[in-house]
Amino acid sequence: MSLTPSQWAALLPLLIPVFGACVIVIMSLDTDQATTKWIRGAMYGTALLAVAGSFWYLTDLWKAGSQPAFFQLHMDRLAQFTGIFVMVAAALTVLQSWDHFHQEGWVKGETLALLLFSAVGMMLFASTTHFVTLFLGLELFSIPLYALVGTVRARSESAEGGMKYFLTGAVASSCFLMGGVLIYGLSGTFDLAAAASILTVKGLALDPLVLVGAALMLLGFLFKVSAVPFHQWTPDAYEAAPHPIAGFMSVATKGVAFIALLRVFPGSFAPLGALGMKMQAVVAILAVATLVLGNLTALVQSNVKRMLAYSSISHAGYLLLGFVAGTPAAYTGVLFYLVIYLAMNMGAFGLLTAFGLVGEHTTFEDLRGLGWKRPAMGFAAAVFMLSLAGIPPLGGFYGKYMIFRELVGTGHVGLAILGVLASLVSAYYYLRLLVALFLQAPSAEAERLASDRPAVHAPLAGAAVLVCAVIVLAGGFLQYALVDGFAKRALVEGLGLLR
Amino acid sequence: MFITFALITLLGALGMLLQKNVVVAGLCMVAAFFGVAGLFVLLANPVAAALQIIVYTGAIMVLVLFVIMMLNSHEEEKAQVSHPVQRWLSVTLIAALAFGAVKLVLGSKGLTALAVTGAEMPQAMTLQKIGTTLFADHLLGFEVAGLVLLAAMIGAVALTKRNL
Repeated sequence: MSLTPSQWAALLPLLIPVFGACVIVIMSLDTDQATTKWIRGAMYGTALLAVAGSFWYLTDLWKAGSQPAFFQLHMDRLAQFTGIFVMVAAALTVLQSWDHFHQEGWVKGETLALLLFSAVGMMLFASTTHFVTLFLGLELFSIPLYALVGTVRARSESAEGGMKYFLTGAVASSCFLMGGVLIYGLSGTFDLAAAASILTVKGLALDPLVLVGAALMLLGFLFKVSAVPFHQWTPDAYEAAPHPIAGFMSVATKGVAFIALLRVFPGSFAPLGALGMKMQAVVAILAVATLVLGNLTALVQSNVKRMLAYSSISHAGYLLLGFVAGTPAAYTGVLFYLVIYLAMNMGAFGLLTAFGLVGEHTTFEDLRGLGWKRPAMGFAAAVFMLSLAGIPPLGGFYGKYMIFRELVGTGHVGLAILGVLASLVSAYYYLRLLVALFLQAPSAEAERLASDRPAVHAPLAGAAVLVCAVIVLAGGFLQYALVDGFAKRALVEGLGLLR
Repeated sequence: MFITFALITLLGALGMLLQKNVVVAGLCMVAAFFGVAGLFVLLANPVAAALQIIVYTGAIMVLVLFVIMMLNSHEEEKAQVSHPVQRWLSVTLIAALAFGAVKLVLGSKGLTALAVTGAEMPQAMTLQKIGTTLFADHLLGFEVAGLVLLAAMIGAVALTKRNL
């Protein structure tokens, strides 16, 4: 069997990182002490090359405007958008992990290979409506992440976090599978778009088994975006994971799950109108719970990583509000918000690496006074935190604004007010981090310890943080160009949601 | 026939959960796998049934039993604190879920419709048909499944190998 050029075009963005991952695994077999340094450099170089290759190929596809397909894999605009999104996140993660794993003293090639596999799974997950492929994509990105969370075995709590994430994740995956099987059983086809129209024709749109199937699938997605009540794994997993991996999980997993949710629920299941209404009501309740619980719990955290984990839960709430509004403009807002969120959160987790905080030393206490010592990083931190809190001229504000505007437009004024109140509350814990960075002097003991240790040197993580800060600033000043140029086109030409 | 195999599967699974002796629990799992193989035969898919027996009951179970015997700990460790409240809570939850599931299945119009149309015997799945389905319709899924296994293997090695 030979593949047509169009089939190759659909496959190549996924094949390049897979190939890179296999090469890295072979490279990491080397155990010679004398060459370790070079091999490490080569492994990180290969990973960056693979990510860059895929990124370059996807941008080419985007510019050419072609939407190739390979069997159930549809590399349409939305899939290309997701691919670029995931590749940027992966590149930032690779850059940060070079510094972080050196600080932890655990530089292994396997982590990079797993990261690349996970990125491939994410692209697959967001570019299909065929249930089998969807589920395989879900597993392909989840399984490497389970291993990555527990990867730094020198830390005792890493195994605990990894195990918690694995067990809860396995339950969520099997629920997702069960949901898809129920829908397959009643419709007789794996393709969710075809299944929806068959079920509508048969008049089974509100059959109890279809409802349960759709609800279980929704559960699978909500687990991945860490919405309440499927959020308990988030703080433990993020705390246990290496900082760059935690950033990657918070950004890429959430983003991809939201895009796949967009493709399945408002996209494929559009013919099942009554079912969509029911799911929207459920999502509205869960979004409120997520916003309230995420924000209130984040207030009392003393560990920055746990605070960021609860903040990522609350951001899932804002994004879910976009689904409650359910208009095309709201979905555009969700996509725009995801891009800004990528920069904000990768940057926030990158700061921890750039400041050289390892292991358990990620509390607010450990951050005291660091903003003045590293002014560039301090400035970036201010950008990220203000943007996460949704302060006007920054990207985070416009993402929230687009979603809230649509909420008001569709008559959900109460939800919009709740969202605004939630972001007001969130300003407290984001500003607390800035207060620690700039207004509090480091304790005498910390000063003494810092003078003993060699100065922190994390050039790659620092560069990654600055890139993120530039994206956040650009999102604030060029928001309409970005929305019209990317997010809207991904939706219009990929999903056909707006015409 | 269906009831027989379904009961074998369910009882095997229950026995595996409740059995304190690990080796006996493993053997209960074999029974559950046999029940599933029987269900596959009823669905006119002898290939899947054969694979189920060869791969799961044959290969995987033997490996599991080997590991259990090598670790040489046949008895489960006792839990340090018993939580009677949690136990009763979970039992009632499971009962409610089971009741709900049965009610759903009985209340579904779609299933009753399927029971009418699906009465004729489906065509038996042959090895050749499985091959064409795998490589013609589900080629992508087949390849991705390979990737999932590779990723899982690398992950397992990364987590457990002593001198990585």
